[in-house]
Amino acid sequence: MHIPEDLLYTPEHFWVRKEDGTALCGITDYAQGELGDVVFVELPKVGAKVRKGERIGDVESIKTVSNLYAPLSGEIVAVNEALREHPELLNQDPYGKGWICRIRCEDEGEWSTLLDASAYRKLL
Amino acid sequence: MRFQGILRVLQDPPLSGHENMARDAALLEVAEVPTLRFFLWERPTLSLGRHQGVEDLDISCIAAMGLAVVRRPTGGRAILHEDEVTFSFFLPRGERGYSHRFLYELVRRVLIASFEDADIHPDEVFSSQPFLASPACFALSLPHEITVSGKKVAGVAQARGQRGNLFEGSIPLTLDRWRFARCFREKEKVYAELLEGALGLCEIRGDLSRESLVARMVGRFGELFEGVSWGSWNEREFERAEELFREYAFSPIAGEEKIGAPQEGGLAKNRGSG
Repeated sequence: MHIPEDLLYTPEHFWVRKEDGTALCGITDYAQGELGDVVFVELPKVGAKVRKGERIGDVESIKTVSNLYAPLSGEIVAVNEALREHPELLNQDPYGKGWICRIRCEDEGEWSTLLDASAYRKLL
Repeated sequence: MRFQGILRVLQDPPLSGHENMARDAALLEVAEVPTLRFFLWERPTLSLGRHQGVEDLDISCIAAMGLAVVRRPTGGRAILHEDEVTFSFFLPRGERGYSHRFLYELVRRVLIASFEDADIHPDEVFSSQPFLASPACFALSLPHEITVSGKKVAGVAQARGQRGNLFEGSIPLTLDRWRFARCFREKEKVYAELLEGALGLCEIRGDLSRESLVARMVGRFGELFEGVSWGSWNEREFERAEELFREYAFSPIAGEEKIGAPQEGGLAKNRGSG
């Protein structure tokens, strides 16, 4: 199971990468392994304002719908449209081509609530 | 394995599909105790998986048969709910949560034990031939599902939220395969898949009653907990179900308002067993 050291994490198995004041997000390698083959991804809407912990979409795998929760508060400024046609990217490349969305964060203080790789590893 | 706490059992009266699904979704969102819910349908209802497309459906035929259509909070493919035992099972998340595969296996074992109690003996080895492209749930058996002589006898799907996991299950007593197949554009194909792939429990044991199967399921699910208590909906759950009612009343298919529109006034006030 791959847990990159340069990312931050949530207990709900999201990874977050800070880039130019925005947060690039996706699900972790552990999460995709637990889910199994993903067959559908419901993405958040670009422009939507979300609160940390709020449901922003879901994924379906093996007849299971699993909710996705915002790792930080802010505005959704981009989503990975490729997932609509190729949900399998979540399994194949969760930290790369399988990214889910980009959030323009509105509360810098929330970054400190995220876990580093070591803390996330202890959760598993 | 035994979970802490008492299993609450709910028995709801016949409700519309929209109301049934709103109640299940409310369990997923706000329930605080493990809950096994049995429910009935006001009229035959086709339920679709949360993300299932509608392009395979024959909408005019569904309307002509007077079926309601609803979308489930769980995944998977279409089920025609008629003569069956329908249940949902909510398990609170627990300290670290449980993987959905682990929970599928748990529910599978409970259902197998319940069927064995009723002198119905599921296959020990998974051997069915799934019709991977079929829009009908009962034409598709996955390894976590239950078959008898290679034919699927129970459909179970799952949704995972922050508070826990919800299972929705359909166990047909009898199957009107042609009526089910007529819901789809490719009727003959789906009918052949259902003939080969699905079985109602009363086709195995003609004297099996809904009540006896429910009693056995309550007993077997109850063994997972410290006890069983027949209960009722609490205020918070019921209010959330009312809020969700509109979301689930939204028709999955254009024009379905004519055949599946919710009653005015929202949720029925019956809170089930008490």
